[in-house]
Amino acid sequence: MTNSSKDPSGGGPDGAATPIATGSRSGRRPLQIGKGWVQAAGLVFLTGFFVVVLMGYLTYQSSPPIPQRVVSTSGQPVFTGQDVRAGQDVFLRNGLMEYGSIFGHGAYLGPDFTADYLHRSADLVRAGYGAAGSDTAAQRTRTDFKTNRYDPTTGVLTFSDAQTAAFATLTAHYAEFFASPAGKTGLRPAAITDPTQIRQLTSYFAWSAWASAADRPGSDYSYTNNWPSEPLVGNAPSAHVVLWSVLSLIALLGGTGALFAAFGRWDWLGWHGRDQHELRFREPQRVRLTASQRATAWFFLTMTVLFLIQTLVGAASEHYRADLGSFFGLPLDHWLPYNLVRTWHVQLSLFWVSTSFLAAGVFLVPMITGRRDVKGQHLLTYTLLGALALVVVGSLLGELAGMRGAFGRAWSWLGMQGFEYLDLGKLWQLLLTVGMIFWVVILWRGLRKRLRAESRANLPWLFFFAALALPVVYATGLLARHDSGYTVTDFWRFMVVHLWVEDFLELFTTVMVAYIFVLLGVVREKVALRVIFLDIVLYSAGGVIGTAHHWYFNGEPAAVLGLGAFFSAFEVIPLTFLTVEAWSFIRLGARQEARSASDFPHRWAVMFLVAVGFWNFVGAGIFGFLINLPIVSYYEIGTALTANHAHAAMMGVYGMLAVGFAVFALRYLVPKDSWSDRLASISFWSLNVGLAWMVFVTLLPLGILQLYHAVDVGYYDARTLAYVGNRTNTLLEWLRLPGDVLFIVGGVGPLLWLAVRGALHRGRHHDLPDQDDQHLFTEVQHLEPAEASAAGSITGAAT
Amino acid sequence: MTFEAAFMIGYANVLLLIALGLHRLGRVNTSPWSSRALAGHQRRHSDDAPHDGSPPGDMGPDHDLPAWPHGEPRRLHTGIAMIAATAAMVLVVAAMVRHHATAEVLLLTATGVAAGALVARLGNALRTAESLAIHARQRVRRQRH
Repeated sequence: MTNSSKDPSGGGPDGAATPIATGSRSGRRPLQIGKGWVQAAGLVFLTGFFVVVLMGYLTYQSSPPIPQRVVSTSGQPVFTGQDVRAGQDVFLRNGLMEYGSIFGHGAYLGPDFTADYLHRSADLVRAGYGAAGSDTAAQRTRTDFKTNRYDPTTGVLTFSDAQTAAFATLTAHYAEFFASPAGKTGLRPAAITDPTQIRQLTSYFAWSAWASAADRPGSDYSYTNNWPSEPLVGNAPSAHVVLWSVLSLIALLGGTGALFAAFGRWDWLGWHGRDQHELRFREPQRVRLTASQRATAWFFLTMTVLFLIQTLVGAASEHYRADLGSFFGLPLDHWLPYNLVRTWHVQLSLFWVSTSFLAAGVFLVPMITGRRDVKGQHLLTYTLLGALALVVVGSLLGELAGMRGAFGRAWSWLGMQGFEYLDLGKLWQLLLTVGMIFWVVILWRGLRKRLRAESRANLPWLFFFAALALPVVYATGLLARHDSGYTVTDFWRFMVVHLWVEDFLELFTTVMVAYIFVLLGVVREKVALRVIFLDIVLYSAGGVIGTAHHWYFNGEPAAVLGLGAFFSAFEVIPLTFLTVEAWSFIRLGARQEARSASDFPHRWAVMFLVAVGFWNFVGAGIFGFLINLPIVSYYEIGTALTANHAHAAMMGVYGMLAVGFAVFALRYLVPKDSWSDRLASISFWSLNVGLAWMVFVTLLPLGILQLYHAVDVGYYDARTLAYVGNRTNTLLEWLRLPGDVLFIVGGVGPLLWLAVRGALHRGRHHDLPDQDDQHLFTEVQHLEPAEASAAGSITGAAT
Repeated sequence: MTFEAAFMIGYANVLLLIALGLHRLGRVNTSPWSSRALAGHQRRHSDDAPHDGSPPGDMGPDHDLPAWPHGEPRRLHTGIAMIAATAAMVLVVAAMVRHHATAEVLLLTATGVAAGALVARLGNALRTAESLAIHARQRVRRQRH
């Protein structure tokens, strides 16, 4: 028996760099899977978005009204709708959503200002009505807050005299809190001193507290489905909160059973191997890179630098939770207050992950097409890098200056726009969107000829469509305006935070991973296509409508709560499935490595994919579902359990993926003698151990304790600085230190070293073959001697 | 007993159970020729099953020496189990520094000893898995040559 090798295209058209064999009258290569897949995916996708549009309509129709005027029973003006809107501006401009939260949404150090105002004002009102144990006083307090005295015809909201008095007292309280020269709150000392701004800010808090307590017209629960829990005003979980929690559990159990039943019945679903053909992996250093691919080395270096900075500012923000007083004796809050470092931490997480995704897209195009770059492609790639650097640096400095009052009326354009995850000024947000469109143009230029020859549901088109969806969905975030009502802005904000990050990045990721496996010869195109379309069906069924699980208590009607709870339960199902499938990725890699005559070059890139599978299940699946039930979310929103989910899912899934893409590309960019599997191994283990330490030692126990406190004592109390800084919490926060140090030094450090090597060499290898060849493997055929002699004359490439 | 000490003892014990569970999970054979979860795959590719009973390409004849990546689940699970057990030990030690009532000291010590024993055992398992993985890779390379 002898071996012969052939081009991967030899066995027929595939997703890898292949000559196209067209088989349709249009001259395009026909669809590689059944039309039913495309129709099912299209139907579920459109249904999901129809419901989202419907929820958008409900958002605009049913969000809590902002009254034109608020007056006391005796007719004295308290504040106006203009004050509320201006207060929202003050809140956003000063980055207070990155310090505390409003309607439960925002950061976790400072208080939730809705719950804070509600509790403090209810306490003052009850004290005004009688002694602490007085039933009459308690009943009158509940009546004051629960009765909706807003008149939609006149736009006038009437506060009781006791509520009016509480407003005046609390204006003084917030003046003291925000103007405190001593600091020690995590904010800059004397952060807000203007009495007008303080009054506007207090009006905003007062309005949010009113919406969270006053009964929605025609209902016996508030605009926020009775959130937050506050016994003083009679806020307790509504029937909807309990009912949809139960139905959500049933959806999860039923859906998981149905999915596994389907996989048992149709065993061709999921990842399966590239038959039993033997592959010979091309050494990465034998693959001639194009100029645009070589340019991505700078992207990966930028990515790791941004990653490093993100971890450092994250460590600074964590220090505030361990010690509010100072940073080892230094008054950090004077220069880098908590809300600034937290803003940077959140923004940089999106920036560095996006940088890796953008670079990976550019890197893959020549491998997909098997062609050299089109003219000027590398120049456009460098231009994209420059644009990215401009947006990153501009937006981060804008946030710093914006929080300090720069830019005047242009604050929301150039400075701190202030919505968590959409903190960057509108100009930077717009430029980032344009940059992503520019990136899609780069991909289009490279793919154009290939796309012309392909059916629109084959892999190259799916790759292009998944990329195109990123700027399109991100652009919806531009509709979050600082002068809209909070509920409306939150609707658009979560188009980015959830729909863009959790669904469309997930889709792009699936397509990229599938394509990489096809390019490596690990799976056939048909298998990859089936997996992608199955993912579209599963994510669209749960993830699109499931966006509403962020809107349980922000002023949306109960119908949105029900839809969010029920459909977001389905989000866990594909995550469970993907975890099972993660080992199939590896199984495929293993079979090929064991059969291959050469080493599998992407061992550590694949290991990062394994980590993605693990954290997808633990971080997104378990920790996500832990806080997903409305009844749990009711007490835990804005606590450390949310941070626990956010870190395990964002870093565990998208972070590990971004690093995995970087390691895949760096394997080609770094010369053989400079590449170190050991460094990749150290980075892999340090990132995973550091993340696990962060979760198990600090965030999870902190979250459990805080949830218990919120149920036992009250949500307001569980969000106070006094609670956050208590002895037990402080101990748990300090215990996080070793894991964080390991994460930064052992995890990011080696990665940075490899990225530097990649940027220095940029794929200029010494022993490159003469001809261009982007194939990453060759298929080895085992032939009987008689066949071999015949085949040898055909392939002419015996190995 | 203070709430903090009780919480630390309870949470540390949960972490130890998680560690044991993860370690056990890591020992499950992930080969498509052995896993019941992949019975469908085995049926479809039954022709590829080795005649000598050893799984093709995935495992060597000696099942104690799994080829890459079938050594990785064991290492990954055992590694994360060890982090959980170490975390339990650190939490218990930190709690012991602050709580000195007799019942607290007894329970914290018992939990700490259990955690220490588990860390030691997992450390050994990790080293064994590591050397098995190295042997497996060397074996694959030898087979190639």
